[in-house]
Amino acid sequence: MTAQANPQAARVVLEQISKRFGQTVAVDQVSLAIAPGELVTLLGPSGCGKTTTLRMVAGLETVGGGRIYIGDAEVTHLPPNARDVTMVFQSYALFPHLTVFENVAYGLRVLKRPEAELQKAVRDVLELVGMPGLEGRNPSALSGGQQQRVAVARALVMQPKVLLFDEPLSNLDAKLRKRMREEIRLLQQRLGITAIYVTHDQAEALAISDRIVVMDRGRVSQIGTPLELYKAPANRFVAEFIGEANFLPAQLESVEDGWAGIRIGSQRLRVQSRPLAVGPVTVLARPEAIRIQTGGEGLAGTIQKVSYLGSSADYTVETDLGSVLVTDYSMQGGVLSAGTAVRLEFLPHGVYPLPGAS
Amino acid sequence: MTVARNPACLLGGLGLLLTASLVPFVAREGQALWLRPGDLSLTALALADRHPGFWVLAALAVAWVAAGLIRQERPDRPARWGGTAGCVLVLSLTWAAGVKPYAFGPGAILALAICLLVLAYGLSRGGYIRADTFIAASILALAFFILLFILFPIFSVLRNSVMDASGLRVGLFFETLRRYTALWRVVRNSLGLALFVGVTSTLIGLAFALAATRSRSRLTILLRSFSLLPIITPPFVVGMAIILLFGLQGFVTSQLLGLKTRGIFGFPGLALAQTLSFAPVAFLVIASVVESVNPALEEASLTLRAGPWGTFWRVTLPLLRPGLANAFLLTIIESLADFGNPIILGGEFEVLSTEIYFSIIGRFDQTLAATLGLILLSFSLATFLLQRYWLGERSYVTVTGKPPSGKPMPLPRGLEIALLSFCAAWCAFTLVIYVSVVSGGFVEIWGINNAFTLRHYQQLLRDGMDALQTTLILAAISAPLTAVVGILLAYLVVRHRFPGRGALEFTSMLSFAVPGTVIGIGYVMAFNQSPFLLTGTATILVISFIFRNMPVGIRSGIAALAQIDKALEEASVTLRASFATTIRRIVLPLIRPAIISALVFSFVRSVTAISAVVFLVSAKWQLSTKVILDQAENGRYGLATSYSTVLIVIMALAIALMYLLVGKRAAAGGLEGGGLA
Ligand SMILES: Nc1ncnc2c1ncn2[C@@H]1O[C@H](COP(=O)(O)OP(=O)(O)OP(=O)(O)O)[C@@H](O)[C@H]1O
Ligand SMILES: [Mg+2]
Repeated sequence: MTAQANPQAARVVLEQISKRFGQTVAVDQVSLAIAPGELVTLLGPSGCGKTTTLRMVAGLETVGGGRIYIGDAEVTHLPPNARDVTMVFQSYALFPHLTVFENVAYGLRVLKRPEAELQKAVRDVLELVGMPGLEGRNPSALSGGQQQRVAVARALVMQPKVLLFDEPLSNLDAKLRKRMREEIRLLQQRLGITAIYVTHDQAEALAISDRIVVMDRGRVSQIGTPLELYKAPANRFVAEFIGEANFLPAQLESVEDGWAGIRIGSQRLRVQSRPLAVGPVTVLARPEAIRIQTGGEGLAGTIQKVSYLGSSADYTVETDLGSVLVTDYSMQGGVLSAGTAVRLEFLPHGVYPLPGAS
Repeated sequence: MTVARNPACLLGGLGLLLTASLVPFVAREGQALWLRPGDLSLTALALADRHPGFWVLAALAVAWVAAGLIRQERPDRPARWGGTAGCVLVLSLTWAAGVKPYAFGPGAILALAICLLVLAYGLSRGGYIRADTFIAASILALAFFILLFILFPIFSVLRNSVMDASGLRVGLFFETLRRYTALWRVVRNSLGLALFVGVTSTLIGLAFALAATRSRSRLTILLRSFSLLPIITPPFVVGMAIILLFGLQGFVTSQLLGLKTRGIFGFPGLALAQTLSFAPVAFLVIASVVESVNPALEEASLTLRAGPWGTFWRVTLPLLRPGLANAFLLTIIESLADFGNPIILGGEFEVLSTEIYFSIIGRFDQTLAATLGLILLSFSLATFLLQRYWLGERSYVTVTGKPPSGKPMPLPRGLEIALLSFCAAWCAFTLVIYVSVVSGGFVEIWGINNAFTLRHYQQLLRDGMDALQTTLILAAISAPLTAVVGILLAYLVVRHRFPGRGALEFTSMLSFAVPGTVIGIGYVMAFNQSPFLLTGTATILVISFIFRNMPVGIRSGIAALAQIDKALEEASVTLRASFATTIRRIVLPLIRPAIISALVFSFVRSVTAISAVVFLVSAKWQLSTKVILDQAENGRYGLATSYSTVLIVIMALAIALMYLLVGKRAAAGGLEGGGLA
């Protein structure tokens, strides 16, 4: 799964870039360094400034403050056509008056590539995205998935230094979305191209990224690999955004080199942790790392609500510490019904004390 | 840290040096575009002895060349600062050196263009305009043209109203008004007429709009073509027809009723003529609003137990209110600006537009003309601002003819019959008007000797062809320029964000609210002296066509661009295409119908224009409308009507050609832009 070294791939550096629209601060001092060949996802809720950040990298939006580098060159104020960056748009933006072939060939024609080279490049890239044989069609005569592939082909054929995606899959149905995101990831790795990918779908982000940038109201909340974000979220916002999460009051009793002794209700456990001050804390407890039993040790509670989801069951359990969401994948005891008195046992690998007191 | 050399400054500096040493900076009056051997004594460097400012210009050029060769971190800075300084310098030097008998020359134009280009580069590379040099340069150039050809003339009117031979005095404005005893009468006449015509046109427009969009009758097609008439008709032709029908020798008054009366001259005739001319404008505005009413609202009302009448009164009509207000205000602007009808049909009934004309042409009183011009302008502007800000953007963004889902409610039966009969009668009356214009050209002397003759057409072939040829050629030259300027402006305003965008948009639409008479005297006052000497040339006619008709292009452009996903253009530029290439390869093919309709309508409007050009024509560059007007004023209706007939036929052919080229839907869209602007 390692990316091939691609001489074309460039590193991208954002140095404290900002952007405001009138009173709205859309992007606030975002800094980010992307290695050559890496795929970084900008993830965050609607309106958090993902698209604006991406468009500043493309040169489609003026930069309010800060600098942008692509490769070794500063491009902060370069117009988009001087940047060697291509983009796959949410609406695909296929030219309606041009055929599939001409859409893909557009950029090469602008660069006045010789006809033979152009023909070959276009056919190769259409083959690469799995779309041979439809060159003569009009974009309006393609399905959503096919349009998506043409849009990717049109961006790839330019062999850009950086490839940008703005929610490229949001117009597809759930199944196709899953397949396309895998294809995009494979292509990106095979070509070793640097890519920035915007989405608000955390599953998509977790599935395809080398690293994820979680954004909140124009600021970077956390940057890390999917695993880091899941295991060690920097704050409540990230924890809530990536996966499901319970936040429970707990007592931090001891801290020593990377490990913490904590007490949730009456249960004591040792978990991995950043250095934190001893005292009351909030812990993040992932629902799938809580064992639910009808007897034994652990936090006592009563099942309020049950949702049976096929491969798992979700329980909402009312306890002294508040309501707790539990996901049970084993279902060894069958599906419990509402009203049952249960005990909750927290498993150390899914519990993480959050910085910033309770 | 990137370090780049500075090609823009280098090229700009070299270009400026060459221009300064080789191209005459000023030229003899009226010969700006011709180079003659002796003119080399007029280059910037040759003039530097008398005007040391030219040394500064040369120094700027040298500095640019130097900046172009040195590696620097921010190449946009010398370009931006130097460009700004250069533009100011060239303009002020033109002012200083372009004194009688000299005016601006090719060198000044070239030097200004170079400075603008370098400045554009600086703005684009400095991140002030998110686009390349081409876009930045277009913005700067258009802003310059709008300043020079819209704001400067208006400013000149203002200046002339407070400044005479003895210098600047604010009190002059009021003195002039005190001297001019007819003031209140004239203002009352103008406003009264405008309000009256506003009401009648809006009511008739509403009747037509309801009948045309909500009736199942076949007549509706006829009603729709009715809206074409004022566009293909020079503005005073209707007035002339009314004289033929109701004047001293009028067919109705004299021949049918046996009256000898001049009663039609003045308010009654004007009100009739303007209502005939402007009701179709109101119709277009209201019809587009009727079509945009969501049928679901009416259906909802019907399911809530309201009958067809109740629904019409309580739902449909209230929804049309903004459209009615809009049509009303637009008609007021048109009526205030109308010059052609009052001049031949006004009689003793003076209005502002004609009084302005007579102050210049009869009394040679520029101060009075400027003062009255300001008053007329303030009425029109107030109405325009009311229309724009009170009614919001409604009137600006053309409502597109997208068919709404659901079926619009048919009119209550009684209302439908009443409206259809009224509209049919009005159409018949309009038809009579046009028949009388056409037949006027084929009789010896209307009402006195009604024998058939081709005499007028023979005379037309003999005497009128020069003006017709000039008109058609100048209109044909200005049409593509108007389309380019208008659509480029629409593109910049809709698709780009840059400082001053709002102001640019506002001023460009302003030219639509400025009455032609005011622009006409503004041009006379601004461009009849050095350094911007243009009066008496064909250039000034073309320029006045371009800036009078620009809103047509802007409207079609905005409506068309609204239909195109902006991401298409963004995709194109990220695929390495320049903005110019993007416009050529993506935007233009997609808005082709809008371009063609802008072309045709600006051509048509140029041919039929009168109010501004009446001040700008000269013996050498005479226009058809002015010839017709002169004939009509002298009572030679035979020649005037035959000439008008020829123009109307040419215009109808042009519009038919457009329908053929772009199809009905697009043509109708363009029609709206053409009719309103
Ligand atoms: N052209 C604009 N003018 C004014 N405000 C804008 C503009 N573009 C974006 N904004 C504002 O900037 C903020 C960030 O917008 P942005 O499009 O970057 O969000 P996003 O993270 O991409 O959201 P989404 O997931 O909904 O696409 C929002 O508050 C938005 O309203
Ligand atoms: Mg977005």
